[in-house]
Amino acid sequence: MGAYMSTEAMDTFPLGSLESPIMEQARPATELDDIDGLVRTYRARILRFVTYSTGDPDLAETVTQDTLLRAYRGRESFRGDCSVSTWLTGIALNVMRDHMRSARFKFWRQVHSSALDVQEMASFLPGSESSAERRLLAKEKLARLQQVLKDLSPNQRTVFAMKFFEELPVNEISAMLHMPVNTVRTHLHRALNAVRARMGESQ
Amino acid sequence: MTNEFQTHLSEEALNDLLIGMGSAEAEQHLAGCAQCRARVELFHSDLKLLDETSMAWSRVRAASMADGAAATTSRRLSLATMGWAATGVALLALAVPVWRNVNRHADQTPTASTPPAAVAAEDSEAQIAADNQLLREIDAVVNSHEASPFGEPLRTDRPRARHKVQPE
Repeated sequence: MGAYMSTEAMDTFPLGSLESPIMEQARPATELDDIDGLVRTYRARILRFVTYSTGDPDLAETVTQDTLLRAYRGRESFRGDCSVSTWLTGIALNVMRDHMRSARFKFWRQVHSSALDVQEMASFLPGSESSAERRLLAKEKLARLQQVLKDLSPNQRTVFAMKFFEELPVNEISAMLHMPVNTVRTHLHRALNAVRARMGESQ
Repeated sequence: MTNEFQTHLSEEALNDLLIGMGSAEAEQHLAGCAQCRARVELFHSDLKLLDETSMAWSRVRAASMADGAAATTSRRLSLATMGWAATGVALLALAVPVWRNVNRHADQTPTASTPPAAVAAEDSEAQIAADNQLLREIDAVVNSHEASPFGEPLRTDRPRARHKVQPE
């Protein structure tokens, strides 16, 4: 995906409350205390979310590393009022916003752009698509899906990824993005209309 | 049940169902309508394909990130070492001409044993000596005209030319 989330769009992700250092009582030991386990469990998930949200797999790697590092360093602030996965998604949104606001990012965006490679992605099609014909059809379908997601606005893509990859309920997405529920719903409707219209063409 | 659901779910109602905001009426319609259920299942099928493929891609990419991070760190260390070496060479290249320049000026400027004040004093004494010599010569000349203390002041021995100007 070549399109990046704009700095303006990222302004809508003020997730400071998710990283609040306020701690009301001693936090019991959690999986956050094991950095290796944290990386092993959540890195791929965060990487995918950030890749789809930013449209840039290279940037997504950096954001993912920073997210895990920031989460580990700030693990004392995790109050347990949401899942670790949701907490990490919130941190990832903040890290993305920080990266995209930086002057360095703005500079490199001018000279470098890495996009999600559909062919590369297609090589990871599930093994159940065993016959050559089925694999070909699945590959075409995947390419269309990728293209539809690429053509979505950054906000629509992020909200879509939060809903259908991270499986977050709409009200939680609304809270995390500080967006009204109806705005999130509108973004999702537009994304779904685009996806279903494009995928319906092939039926 | 509204008229909307007497036929099939509208796009909006279907979208609301897909994002978990479907109404009870829509849920009820879906349970009894194979066509609308097929539309929902089609979307879930496409989403499953994307979800599984992208997650498999992400797992492999995430696994390679560790190696990439190590390689990046190593590359950064190499670059840092090369950077320090280059800085050292540059500093040396700057230092040699500066050192030479300082030494050259040192030959022309006062050394520690002859501070500038002393040199200025030397210059001053030489000047004073020269001035004194000049004054002595002047005194000698002046004294030579003091042979007759009764002589007219400012009178020289040179006879004054008295010529009468002849009219033309």
